[in-house]
Amino acid sequence: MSVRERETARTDLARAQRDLHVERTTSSGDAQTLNRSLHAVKAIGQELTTLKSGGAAIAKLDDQDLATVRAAVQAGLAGQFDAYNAAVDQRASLDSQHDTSLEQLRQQTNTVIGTLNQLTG
Amino acid sequence: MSVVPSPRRDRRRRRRSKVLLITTVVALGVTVGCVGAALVVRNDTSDVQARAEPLDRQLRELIASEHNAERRLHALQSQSHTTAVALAAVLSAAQAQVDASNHAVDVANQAVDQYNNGQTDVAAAFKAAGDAAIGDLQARTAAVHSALTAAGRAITRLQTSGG
Repeated sequence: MSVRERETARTDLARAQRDLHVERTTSSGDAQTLNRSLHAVKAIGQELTTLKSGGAAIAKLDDQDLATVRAAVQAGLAGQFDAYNAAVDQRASLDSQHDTSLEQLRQQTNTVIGTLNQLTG
Repeated sequence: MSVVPSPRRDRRRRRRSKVLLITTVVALGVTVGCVGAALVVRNDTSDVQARAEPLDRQLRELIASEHNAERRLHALQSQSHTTAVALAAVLSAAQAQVDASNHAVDVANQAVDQYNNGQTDVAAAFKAAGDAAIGDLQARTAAVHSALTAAGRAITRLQTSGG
């Protein structure tokens, strides 16, 4: 084991100490950002679950809307005015519920999108 | 007849012996010193290497941990973006469905007006634009379902990503 090896070992030690210090002080940014992002996603967990159920409700109302409009057009094609009027009335009764649900979903979705956009940076 | 060394030659021999002895002692001292110095260097080198090893290990662990955090953060950010896009697509699809539904109702109302004004028979009035409007409404309603399915998947992935 020569004096040169000793110098190499000392240089390696100094380099390891310096690198470790640099890593500790400068490169923990991603870990901190990850923790903040995970907390943010966890915080909107309830909203995300609500969006799923709100979306399912809208899908159901859309199906009902399609069914009533189709029934109205088919009744019109068949010349059945009573059935036509009944279908139109049924659709009208769904309208306010559909509008309210959609507006609620829009607001919740936009809030969540805003949070997600902040995470994306 | 015996030879008697001269006193001068005898002194010279003694001096030479003395020089040889001193040289030997000095050489021995230098050798011992070198061996001692070598042992000190060896011990010191081993000590330095022993101190460097845990630092190297800590550094490797720290770098690995940082890379892991970087990878998870990237996945989380990517999934956040995907989810935001999927949710925006749901809103667009829902709005398109509302527009298509309103258009279909307008078409039906126009058909009724045409019939009431005696411009055409009821079946022809509905047939003209009703089929297209219903077809469009059906496609838009299916698009809402697809968008909701995609958004649901994106939400699930978001909630499990980064973990």
